[in-house]
Order: sequence, then C-alpha cells, then structure tokens
Amino acid sequence: MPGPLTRLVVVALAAAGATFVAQGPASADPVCQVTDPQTGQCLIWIEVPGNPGDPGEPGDDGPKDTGSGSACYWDGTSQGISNPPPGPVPCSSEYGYWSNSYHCYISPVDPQPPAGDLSWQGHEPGDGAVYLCYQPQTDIDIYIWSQDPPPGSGTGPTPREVAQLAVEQMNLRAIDIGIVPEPGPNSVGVVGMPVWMWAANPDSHTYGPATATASAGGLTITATARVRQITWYMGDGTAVVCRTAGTPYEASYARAKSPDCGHVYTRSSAHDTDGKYTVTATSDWVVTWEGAGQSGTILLNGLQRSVEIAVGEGQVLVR
Amino acid sequence: MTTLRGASALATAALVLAAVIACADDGQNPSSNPPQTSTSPTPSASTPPSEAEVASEAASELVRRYYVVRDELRQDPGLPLSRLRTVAISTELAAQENLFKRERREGRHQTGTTRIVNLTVQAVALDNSDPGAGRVPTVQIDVCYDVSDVDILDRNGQSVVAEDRPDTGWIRYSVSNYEWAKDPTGAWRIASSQDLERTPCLAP
Repeated sequence: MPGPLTRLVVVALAAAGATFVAQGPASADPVCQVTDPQTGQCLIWIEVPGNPGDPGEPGDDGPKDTGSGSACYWDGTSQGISNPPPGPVPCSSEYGYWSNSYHCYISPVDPQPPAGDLSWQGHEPGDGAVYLCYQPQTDIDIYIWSQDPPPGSGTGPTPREVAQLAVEQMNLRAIDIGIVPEPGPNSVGVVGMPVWMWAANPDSHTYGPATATASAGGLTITATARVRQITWYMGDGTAVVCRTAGTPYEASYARAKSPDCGHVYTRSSAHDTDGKYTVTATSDWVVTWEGAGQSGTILLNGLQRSVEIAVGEGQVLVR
Repeated sequence: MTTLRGASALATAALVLAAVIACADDGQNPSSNPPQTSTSPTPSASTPPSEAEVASEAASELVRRYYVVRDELRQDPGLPLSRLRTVAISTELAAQENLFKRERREGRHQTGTTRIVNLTVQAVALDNSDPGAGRVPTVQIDVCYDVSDVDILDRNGQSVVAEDRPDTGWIRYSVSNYEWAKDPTGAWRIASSQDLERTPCLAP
C-alpha cells in the first residue's frame, strides 16, 4: 500500500448499487464532496484508503506448467464487489497503468487541480501530485494524492515469481531413499529377485504437500507443492516411474513384488563401477499457486538422491 | 445581499473579493424568486476594472454557461460531450464526462431546466506561477441552484431522481484559468466543486 497516501477523493458516477468503499477493510465511511444537483446523487466522495484485497478464489490445478500469470489483477472483494470476479487485467490501457494496490488504472490529472482543491488533501501544488484512479470494473473515478507516482504493477513480479518465493520457504528436498536390497557393504541383492523402492519417512519437505504464502509487489500468493512422481534410475539402464511414495519393504513380504514401485534386475552389478548399481531417485514436484485473482501450476524437477546397491548372480551367493 | 468569506483555501496571495453577482438566469418566474442584488462597488466609467474584477466577471459568466451546457447535454443526448471541455477542466471535467457517458449508456435524459438562484464570488487568487501544477488563477464562486423543474428519466420514462433530492442547494466552484497568460478572460473553466452546508437559497 502506498505509504504517503492519506485520503482518497472518490468521484462516483451515481451508479446504482455501486459501492464506494475504495480500498478495503481499513476504509472509513465515505463523505460526499459534491452532489449532482439534478439527480440528488453523490458525485464525488472522499474516502480513506485501506489495504489491497484478499487473494481470489483458487482456480483449476493442471498437470502442465501454466506460465507466469499476470502481474496485474483486479480484485474487488475488499470493496464488496464480486462481479466482475477477481482476475488478471492488462497492465496498461487508455486510462493509464494498473496499480494492484489501488485496484485501478492510474494517470496524473492534467492539468493539476487548483490549489486548495480537496483532492490535494491539504498539500500545496508542487508537493506530490493528484492522480486519477479509474476502475473500469465499477466505472468509478478516484482522485488520490500521492507524494510519488503510485508504482505500476506491470513492472513488479509475476504471480509465478512470487509463488517461487513461497516455494523457497518450503525447503523442499529430495526423498530419503528406501530400497531393498539395502545400500551398504553387507547387503547384496539377487538377480531375478524383486527390488522394492520407496520414499523413506516421507514428510512435507520430501514428498509434500507443503504450503507457504509469499507477498511481493502487491501480490500475495499461496503455493502448495506435492510430489507428482518419482523416477527411479536403476543403474542398469532402466527408469521406473512411480506415482506413489512406494511401499516400505518388510521381511514378511519375503519374495513378493512391491505392489506399486519395484524392479527386477536381470544381470548382476559386478561389471559396474565398484561392482554396484547407482540408483537415483528423481522427484518431480507440481506446485499449484493461487492468489491475485489467478491460479497456476509450476512443475519442478531435479530434486534427486542416489544410493549404490550390489546385485549378484544367485549361484555366486550359493557358492 | 453581499457575502464575504475568508478564502482560506486560497489564502496565499489571494485577493478576496466581495463581489456578489446574483441572478435568476433562466428568467422563468422571476417574480417568485427575486434576484439578489449586489452591494459590491461597481466599476465606474472612469475607473477601469481591476484584474480581479475582470476575472470575477468572466468566471461568473463561465459558471452560468456551465449550467446551460450541462442542461443541454442532458436534455439532448445527441449533443457531443466535447462541449464539456468548453466549460470544465481537470477533475471536474473528468467527473462530468464520466457521469454523462454513463447516463447516456443507460439511456437517461433530463427534462426541465436548472436555475441559478444565487451566484456569489467568494475569493479571487491570481497566482499564475505554475498553472500545470495547480498554481493557477482561480475564482471561488458559490452557487445556489434550483432543480425543482428538473427531472432525470430513464429510457422507460421513469424518474431516477432520488426521493430525497432537495430542490435547492449550494455548491462552491473553483473556476480556474490555465491559459491566463494568453487568454485572461476566455479560458476560464470549472476545475472542481464541492457541496456547501448552507440554508436553502430562498431562506432569509
């Protein structure tokens, strides 16, 4: 919210049903500056600014990356306006440039109103300036005084960039690998025997869901991240894609196959480096974000962890 | 009746002028609303009017024209709104343009004529040091209007006038001349306005 702003002069259009609470929950009761003589309806209001609106309703999640979203958005919920619903708007128009904080297009009044006009809010000409703030969604003009030009949201971060700030707060990590045969010098698997893979002790950081909220540039975005799939590169040229966390192996399962994430080696690891297979689990995350009257999806890949396991021929073990 | 008020909003270098210009502009039934009379000195033939007096007269005439233009634009939605630019500027122009655009979209029009019952110059400030920034010659004028003869109808012919609309009321106008240097008499425009809490026009 622009700091130096003290009051708003709202020019209403005598619109039936229009709400002149210009700026959100901190708004006070508006005071009429001038009445249209012919209709008896207030034409110009004075209002105290509030805060930017709350984030909009979430949208659809999708498996595809939906891009950056628009840095400029309309959200009239803080004014009690649900129609049009929150959503992206062009960052510039014939009315000026869009401000998420004011929920309107900003343009300097030209020429500036004369000294003493209420829109100066007690300031002298030359001390800041009066700007026209036009809401095409409501057809309401708002006159604001500001020391400096209100920042345009088009130059600010996109929802995706703010969502990525939220993701950074989640401290996402690769899974802790659970696998049988276990890594280590005292464990050797057998060719032809089932291998079980799973995410060990999965939590919000390694498997999700993890949720965080970040704000920047007048945007507040809530992001939720969860693992979409884990790709296991088994070291023998095979990649196994598991869409679950997998099932931890227990001794009672004996020689059974994993119900959801497993593999069977067809040759030993004796000829690989150090005589072991390097098994790498790569987590593919999907991040859904919502806020600024928009929603979207970000795909994150590349969180991976590796272990080495030994697999031998059965007759070697017997001997 | 002469009304002289402190010109606090225009205090800087302001020349307070107690010029009262009263009128019954439309000439309709003047007997029921007798025109106010001015007690301010009238420039004699031997004394040329001061800049402030010239500005007051020009600004007062502009306000009268402003009411005529507004009435005409509302009575005939076919007239171009560009006419507003001949009588208004700055925030007043934007507000009026948007008001009329909306009313025309909604199919509204006016019947009857607005009457100026009282027009009083309250203050004159001829600071022209930075017109673009708002340091511009400005005349403050209080107007008491009468809209008892006026109705605003929607496209179905239904009145959209507020039930509690008063028939009379006061508005203070800031009339500014942003082209004072090259056109000190013809470039006056209404730049802003605000309601005044005052007794009805016809009250003693």
